[in-house]
Amino acid sequence: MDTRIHGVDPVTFEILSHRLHQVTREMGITLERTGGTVNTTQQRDYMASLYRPDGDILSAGATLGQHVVCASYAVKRIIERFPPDEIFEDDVFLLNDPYLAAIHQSDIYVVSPIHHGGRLVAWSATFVHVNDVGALSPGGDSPDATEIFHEGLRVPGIKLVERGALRQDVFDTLTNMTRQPGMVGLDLKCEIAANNVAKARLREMYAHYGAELLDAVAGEMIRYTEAIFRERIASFEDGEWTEEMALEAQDTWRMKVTLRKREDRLVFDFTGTDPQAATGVNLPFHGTAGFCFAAVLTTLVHDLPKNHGVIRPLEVIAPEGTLVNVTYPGPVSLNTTSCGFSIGFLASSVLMQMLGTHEHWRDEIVTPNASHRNGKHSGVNQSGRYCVFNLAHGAMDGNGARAHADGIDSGGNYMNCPNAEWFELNFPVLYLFRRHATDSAGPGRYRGGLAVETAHTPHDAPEGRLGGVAYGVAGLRNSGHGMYGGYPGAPSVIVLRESTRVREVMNSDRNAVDLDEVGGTERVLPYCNFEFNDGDVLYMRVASGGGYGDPLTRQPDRVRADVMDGAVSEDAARDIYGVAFKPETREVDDAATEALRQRLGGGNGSSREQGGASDSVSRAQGPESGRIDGNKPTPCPRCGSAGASTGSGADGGVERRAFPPTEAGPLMGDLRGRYLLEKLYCSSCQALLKAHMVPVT
Amino acid sequence: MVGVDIGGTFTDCVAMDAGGTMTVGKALSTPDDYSVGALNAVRDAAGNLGLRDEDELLASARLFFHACTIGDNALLTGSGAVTGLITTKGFADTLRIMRGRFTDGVPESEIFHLSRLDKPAPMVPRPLIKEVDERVDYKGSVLVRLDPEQVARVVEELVADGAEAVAVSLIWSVANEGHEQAIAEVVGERHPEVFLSLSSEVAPYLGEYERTATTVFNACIGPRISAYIQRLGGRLREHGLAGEPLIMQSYGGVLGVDATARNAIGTIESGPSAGVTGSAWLGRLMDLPDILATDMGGTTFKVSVIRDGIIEKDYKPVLLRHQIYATKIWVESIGAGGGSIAWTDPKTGLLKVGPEGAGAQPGPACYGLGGVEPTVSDADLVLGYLNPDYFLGGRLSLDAERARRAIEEKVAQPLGLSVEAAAGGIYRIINAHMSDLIRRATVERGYDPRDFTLFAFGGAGPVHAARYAAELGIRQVVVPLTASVHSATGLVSSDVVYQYGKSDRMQVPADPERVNRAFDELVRRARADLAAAGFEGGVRIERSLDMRYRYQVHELNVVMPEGTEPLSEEELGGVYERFDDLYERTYGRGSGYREAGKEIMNFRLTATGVLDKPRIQSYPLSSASADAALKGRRKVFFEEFDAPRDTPVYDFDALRPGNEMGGPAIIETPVTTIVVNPADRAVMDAYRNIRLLVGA
Repeated sequence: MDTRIHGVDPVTFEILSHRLHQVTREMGITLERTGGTVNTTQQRDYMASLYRPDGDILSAGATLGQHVVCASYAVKRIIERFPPDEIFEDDVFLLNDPYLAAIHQSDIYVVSPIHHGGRLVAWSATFVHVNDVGALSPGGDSPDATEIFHEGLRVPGIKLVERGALRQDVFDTLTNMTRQPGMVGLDLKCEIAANNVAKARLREMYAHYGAELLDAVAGEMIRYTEAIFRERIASFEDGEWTEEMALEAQDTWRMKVTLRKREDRLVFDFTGTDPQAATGVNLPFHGTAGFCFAAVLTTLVHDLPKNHGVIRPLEVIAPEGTLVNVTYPGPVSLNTTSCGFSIGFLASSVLMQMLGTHEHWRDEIVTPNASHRNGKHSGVNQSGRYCVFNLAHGAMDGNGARAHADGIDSGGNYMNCPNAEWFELNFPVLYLFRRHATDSAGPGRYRGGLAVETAHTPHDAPEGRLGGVAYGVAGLRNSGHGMYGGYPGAPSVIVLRESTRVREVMNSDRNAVDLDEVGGTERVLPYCNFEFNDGDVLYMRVASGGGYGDPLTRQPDRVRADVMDGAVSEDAARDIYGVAFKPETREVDDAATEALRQRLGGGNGSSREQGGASDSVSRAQGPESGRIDGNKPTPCPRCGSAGASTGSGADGGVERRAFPPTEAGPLMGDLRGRYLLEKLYCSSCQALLKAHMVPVT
Repeated sequence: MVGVDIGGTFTDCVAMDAGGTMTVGKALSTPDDYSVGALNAVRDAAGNLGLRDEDELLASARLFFHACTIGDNALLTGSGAVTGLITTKGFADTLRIMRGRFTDGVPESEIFHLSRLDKPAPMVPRPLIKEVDERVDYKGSVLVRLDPEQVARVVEELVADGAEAVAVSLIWSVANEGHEQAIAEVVGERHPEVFLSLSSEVAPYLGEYERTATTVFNACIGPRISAYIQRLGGRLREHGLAGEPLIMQSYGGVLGVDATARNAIGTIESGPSAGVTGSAWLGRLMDLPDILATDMGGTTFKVSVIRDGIIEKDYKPVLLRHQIYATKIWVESIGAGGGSIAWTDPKTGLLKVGPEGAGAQPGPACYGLGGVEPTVSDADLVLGYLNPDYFLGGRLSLDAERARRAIEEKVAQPLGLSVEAAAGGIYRIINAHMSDLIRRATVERGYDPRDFTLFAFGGAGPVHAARYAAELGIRQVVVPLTASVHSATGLVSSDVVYQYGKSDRMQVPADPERVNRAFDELVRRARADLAAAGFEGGVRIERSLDMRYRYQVHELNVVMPEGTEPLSEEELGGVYERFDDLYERTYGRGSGYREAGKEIMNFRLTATGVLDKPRIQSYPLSSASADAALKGRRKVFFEEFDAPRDTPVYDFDALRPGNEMGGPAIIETPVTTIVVNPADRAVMDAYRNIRLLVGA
């Protein structure tokens, strides 16, 4: 395909595409400034985009890529539902049905036609995650829901504004079905305001430049994004890469993806994924497609205009009736942060494996992250008002390590977490700490980003208690996965400690920062509702980034700096990174480090190997057979031995060894008995090729 | 009065006499000790006034105003004070966590490049962050008491590790400053030489991350600012100045030496703020209350908004990619200037301009300093707007051949365009980027740009201003006489301004007594500070509230009407309605939602001690004919015409007030070039400003 612009002079094209981008940016800012829920005003959990008259994406704005795709479905559903002569200028539509376009009901899509000279020339659409939709559990995420009817209001398409006039009856009906009408009212108003911004700006542009020119620019933008994207895909060798992932809570739900790269197309095939669940972790098809799109956005097309041209070379295969393509009336309310984030991980993981096969793109690798647990509370706050609030900690996830640098500590995912003080002002909780978790980052030549860990307790709650919901990516293999010998990051967990000594500790003039001292009975929470009473403490640790490359090859000075900063403990520095310090000066002891690394490296690690360790567990079983990553024999990066995976047996030239999970760090203790750290070494030179957690069989 | 502004290369001095006549002095800036360059600039102005030396000028100066970049330089080069931070146990990582998101201040084009993003480098190394046991809650109740002995141990550790400054930022110090004060006492007793920065004083606003970042920045530059202004004050006294220097603040206003040293963060970007202050002052003289002050330099284009004579403020600016709490003149900026590089995307055949710039070295290709990338200035030269032999009044000669070659190779050939058409494309694109930014600064805040007059500053500004103004329907562009020294001019037009504020959340309807009490405390501090600075009469106090709908985080600032001290319940009701109105004006009709409930978040107060200022000198208008100033003609390209036009070129210095020039025309001044487009007209006004009447 020709990647050059045709039919529009390049100067005018540049000017108008710049302006179109400004429109989606301004829409996003409007949402942020005028929204109600913390997701919109602080977390950037929103989306604002422009669409072509047929619902194809014209310009994807901030911020969440998956919703750009789903809102495109929303526009198309509105077009199907309403005949053209019933779509008027200045109408605004609302839709949140997961069986049509939304991912779950908390996602409210607001969609507006934009007319110029009596003709429909474009659509604008926004999404915000409203604070409550009248579902079983406050806040929407409902662990006990078993069908869609338990999960709150579901609108297949309705006019919220007709010819510029707000339909107050509709507005009141919607807010009336939620536990927080004031906040949800603001959420809806901000979406109307953002769509009005789009309308005003686009109309001005159409009036100034004319429909013919703008339509031509829009068409060319999409065409050239597609052309360049296809060219990039074609520059990779054809291949196939797979990844698996499981949610582990009351049940285990497995997902699998195979990425097939054929010429200038990418196929994400989820065949092999488990049937849909009776718990609301299931994704509708468009959600699955959306998360795949989002994974592509920050990798192969990060520098291109984001529009329908990104979608066209993609194909998503998701068998009906599975976790990734739920059939009616399966429940969905927990899905974005569970299967959704898992699919984001699966899609990123196979993309990263693919990038690893390309000389230019290899440097763009960021080790993939399977994301975190999160929580919500509800109840009466210190001002005597009923409220629901999202703890929004996922914005402080550690990012994955890169091919050339460490992952970003608490880098989040373009999202933002409110200050502890903001929570404490509005809601009856007290934070005990909010800090980087030592040893949470996946070790590696480049380590992952550190996760944030927090603990909070009810404070000034008039009823002495709050409600709670635990959700997110459940299971101990969430968080970041390492690549090329880098280790996984510590799991994300949410732990309830009941009846603790937190107040006694504080009354004795010490901050309650040591959970052992705080005590209480500990419970790792699956998907569930829970009671949060005075004296209880909720500990949360979000996701940590996975490492890149063998930790024994990390520069000792960087390990020392990490120890000084509290990012890595001295034990981990010694046992995982093989770095020894001189006792007096705390400088790196080069000779001792060299000796230690010799001892820990390659085949010499057998003393700690699982067979000889105290936990007696049978041999680990990896998901791959005879491959390191992907479909192709990966030559050993150290000795170049191509035999690394060309052998005829299952393990070829790779030696597999299993270790207790804590080999990857002290925070891996919870995995004991359920997972093993499997390391794959080159059988020729003993270079570490891969380190990953595999379930015990 | 005398104003001295220190810039990157030059230090400018403006001396204004009682009759309003301004005399300019210039000297090279002296980074080793900026006070040397400052005195040199004063000496130059004294010479231009026919005085014996700087002592004679300083001895006669009633007031001495100053804007410095000491703080900016210290932060940019990492040469600020070694700073330790004391914070609440459990929260040492607040600065590093940054609330997760870290892309403020990252160019939009980079934000999606996940593999290349990083957080800004830490301002305080982790080992210099110390935690103490203590905890206060949102009501200000003490939950964990502070132990002074533990504090003393921590302070000794910091000092032993070389800390010259200590920032203290505790959770909820905004509700109860007791623990921060107690730490201050310990530090003061043991190490009075250490510079102290307390979050409850520097940024008493809700939100521990932003408050800590502000407090740390303040600590980092405090010792440098403090040392510098004391040294400067001493030198000025030696050279005959009777009073103390008044130091420019980034919110537009000056403060004395002590007040500046306490709140060093206030000096960041204060030079440009002086320029905007000067624009507001000029606007008042010219009866133009609504101004867009634009500045197009070598690498950056900036715009600030003056509405009804009041400069728009920013209470949460971004500094070195950190969000901070400091009152600052609000500025929108993008990477667009004379040095912005034009390039083509080989895949798409699209022409792009910026955001990369050629910098001062090597600069645009036409400077002949080794630059090979085509820039906006190269395009301006090829189009005939710039005079190769009279750039910066002839101080630099431009190489048109190099400019042509760069554009030919990098833009025209790849796109299959003529060199002139390519240059025209570069010119149009950069203008569109700038008008998009002005749209952002106005339309997005509920303003109509057509209601404004545009002021064009910066070397490249007047070459482009009429175009980016026309795109927005703006009808008048002013190129002030003082454009080349506008920051120094702004200095002498400044008043003494103190800013106060505090977070104190109140649900609406609030108890009027509580509201008045919160204001009264700020008013008391303001009156004491103004009295100490020698103001009895001529004082203005403006109270305002940051308000929002419940649970929101972005506030709007609502000004209290005059004569409502104290506020009655009814007047307070009026304030709430003004919030609703302001909200709808800012975010669009129908965006407000009163049912959500409202709250007051921050109390703010601005206290102004008005300084007497002479009127700027004006001249009688002479005839309309500018013929006497015609210095030549040259071929110039305008987008309205296919072929270059033979265009008259006027000498600014020879123009007389009242002279008029129809477009197309070029006016060359010693510091810039003013392009008068074919549909526009230019007039020199009574103050010798050039006014461009767009489309008139």
